[in-house]
Amino acid sequence: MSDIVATPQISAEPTKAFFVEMLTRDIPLEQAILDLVDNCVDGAKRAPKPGAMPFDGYWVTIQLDKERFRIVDNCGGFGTDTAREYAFRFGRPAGTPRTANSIGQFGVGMKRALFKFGRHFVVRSATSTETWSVDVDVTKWESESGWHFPWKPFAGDETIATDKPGTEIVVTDLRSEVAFRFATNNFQNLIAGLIKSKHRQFISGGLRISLNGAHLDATNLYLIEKQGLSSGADELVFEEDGQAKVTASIIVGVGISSSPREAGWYVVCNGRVILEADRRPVTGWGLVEDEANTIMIPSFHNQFARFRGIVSFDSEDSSRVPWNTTKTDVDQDSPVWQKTFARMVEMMRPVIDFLNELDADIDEHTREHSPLLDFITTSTIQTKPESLPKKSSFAAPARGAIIKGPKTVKIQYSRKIDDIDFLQDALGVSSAKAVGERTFDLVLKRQRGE
Amino acid sequence: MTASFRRIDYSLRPAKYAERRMLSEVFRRLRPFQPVEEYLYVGFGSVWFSDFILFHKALGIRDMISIEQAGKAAPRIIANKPFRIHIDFRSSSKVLPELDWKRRQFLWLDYDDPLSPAMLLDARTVAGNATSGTVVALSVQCMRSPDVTAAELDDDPNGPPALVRFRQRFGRERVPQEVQEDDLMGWPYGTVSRAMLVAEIAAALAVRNSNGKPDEMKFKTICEFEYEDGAKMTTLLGIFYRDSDVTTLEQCGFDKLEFLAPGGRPVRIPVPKLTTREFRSLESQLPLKDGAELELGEIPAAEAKFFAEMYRYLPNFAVIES
Repeated sequence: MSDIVATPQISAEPTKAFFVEMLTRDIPLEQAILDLVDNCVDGAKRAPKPGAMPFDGYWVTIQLDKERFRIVDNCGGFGTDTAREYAFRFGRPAGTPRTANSIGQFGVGMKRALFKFGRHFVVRSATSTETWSVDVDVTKWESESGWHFPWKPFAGDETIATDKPGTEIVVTDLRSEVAFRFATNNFQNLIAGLIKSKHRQFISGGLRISLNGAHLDATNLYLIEKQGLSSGADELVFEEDGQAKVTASIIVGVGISSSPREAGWYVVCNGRVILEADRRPVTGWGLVEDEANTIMIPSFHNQFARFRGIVSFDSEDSSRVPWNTTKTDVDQDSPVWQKTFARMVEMMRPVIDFLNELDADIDEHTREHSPLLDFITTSTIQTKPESLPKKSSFAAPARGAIIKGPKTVKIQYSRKIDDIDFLQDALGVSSAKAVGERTFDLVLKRQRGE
Repeated sequence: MTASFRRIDYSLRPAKYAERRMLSEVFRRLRPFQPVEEYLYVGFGSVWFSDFILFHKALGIRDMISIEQAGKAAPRIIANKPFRIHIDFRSSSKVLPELDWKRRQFLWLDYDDPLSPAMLLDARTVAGNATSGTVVALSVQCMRSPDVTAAELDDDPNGPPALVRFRQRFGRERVPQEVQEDDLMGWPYGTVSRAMLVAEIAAALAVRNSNGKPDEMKFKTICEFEYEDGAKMTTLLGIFYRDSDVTTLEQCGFDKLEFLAPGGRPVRIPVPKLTTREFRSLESQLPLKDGAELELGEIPAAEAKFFAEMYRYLPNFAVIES
């Protein structure tokens, strides 16, 4: 035993190269870019403008190609203290000053993105009172001892200065796989689509985001609101001693568009969209009640294409909202999520029931003659979920409550293609469906002696 | 791949005929990479095999594979097969991954239908496997996107508009940001279809090249065609090459092809509407002597111009008898 005590301590210190590798592996490339946009948004959240457009005047510019990645914003920048003590630390030390309702809370986003993209990065930032710059050659840094990044003299220019506070990040010497993807149109389209959707609320609030010179607008969600059909809404508040309050607002309703890809749950944390049109069991689809084995919520099917659910969590303390560290999913273990989830499922059921009724009505009357379908598709008003009341019950007309024309039944049958083609030509109609309808009408007329 | 041969006799389609002849000129120029007769030709032969016959006779290509998903028409296709062509009665999605990609090939994926996600996946398979010197032509119909029709036929006035359907069908990463609804019809739709094919190929090459090794595989568009024998069609034609083969590529001299349109614009293949007499009158003056002008007589100038540009490629029977 004494021999072991005499030898030097066993080293468990991670090598920087290993650390960098581990850090960059657990996030998809596109999410790493969104993380950097999140940091810009947090900058704007520190000094919001009064009124309905809190981000009016703020902008973020992203440029990416095979050679380099660059993101610049005018969202206030951050000071040397923040840079020295927090911004470049891996993980967020206790006592870090927090931005209220921030979306970049994990203290890894920027570093992870920088290392993920390439082997050389420069970060420059200016607040209204100070400026600083950091320049890191990652390969060199990995080979040196110590965990410091070197300061570099700040060179002011027309984009960033104390009278134009903001931050610029440039990554060069891109990793091969990253460089090739940045250069493809498909990747650029993907990023544009994700930003439009995931940062929808901030763009609607006035933030201007551009990607490779193209301005990105927000993808909006609309619900149907009209006499007799109104969305359900509820607000839950989670307060615990010594912890920041979390509010969860839930909205369920019927969407304007019958496109199945837009259907499902949208989960938003502090304004940042985490899940879009989610149709997995995580958000309640295909939920089977264990004991009786009765189905509470069916698995997603196209007849639910108009289902829209939006749940928005907000808290000053961003660690309290139920998202995972990569902001790609919810944290299912969070008590806030679990309690909200139970309410989501309750609120989902009447909408699902209504959509089942709608489906049955279409089956009985066909799409052309279904009174219920007619009700929801004519003179509907598109409403943004933000403008709905905080608490209300979902209301929809019952089947049969709307009377329209005589009762009909759908006929479906099969015949040989050659025969249908023959009749199509003979009757001068353009589809098999039309052949069926026309022949029926002709026979009916003849039999009735009209 | 619908069995359009039931409706159209490929060999009577004059613009398609001209395109085939132009492709043959392109293939002929591949010699710096390898004697063309040693290339493998892969096409969708239908029952006509017009491309196979031309490439065999004009270029001496020996190894040819026809991909044909015709089901019940198989016996008829076999009965019409010229030469010793290998016919693979499976879908292109099954056949393409199994081709011998170590060999140089030219592939003409001549779809009858408008661009679909499955065609993009075919393009991806080709780009993911092609060896340097392989040429691919991708032809798609571009009358109007099926999404436009679907949006029109939707009983629901609030159903998704055509562009939304189009984006959802292909996925947001595949559809260029600037595409508008009127880009889904006619020649602009052809432009979008080709751009999406090029982007898909670029995306596949990005994956392929991201191994950190030098000597990247690249794709260069040789030319693009637009033509119309009843239905508007467009073709993207390009070559895969490694950085180390740039000189070989230059030796092919694709930029010297006679039929190329100025400024890299798509080659629009017109079908001149001329009588037999007009046809002969023009033909006797061609090729034009330097500085000479065509004697038109009563021939419309535009038709004569089309003819003078394309006569080498047009079939002799492209005559409108009145």
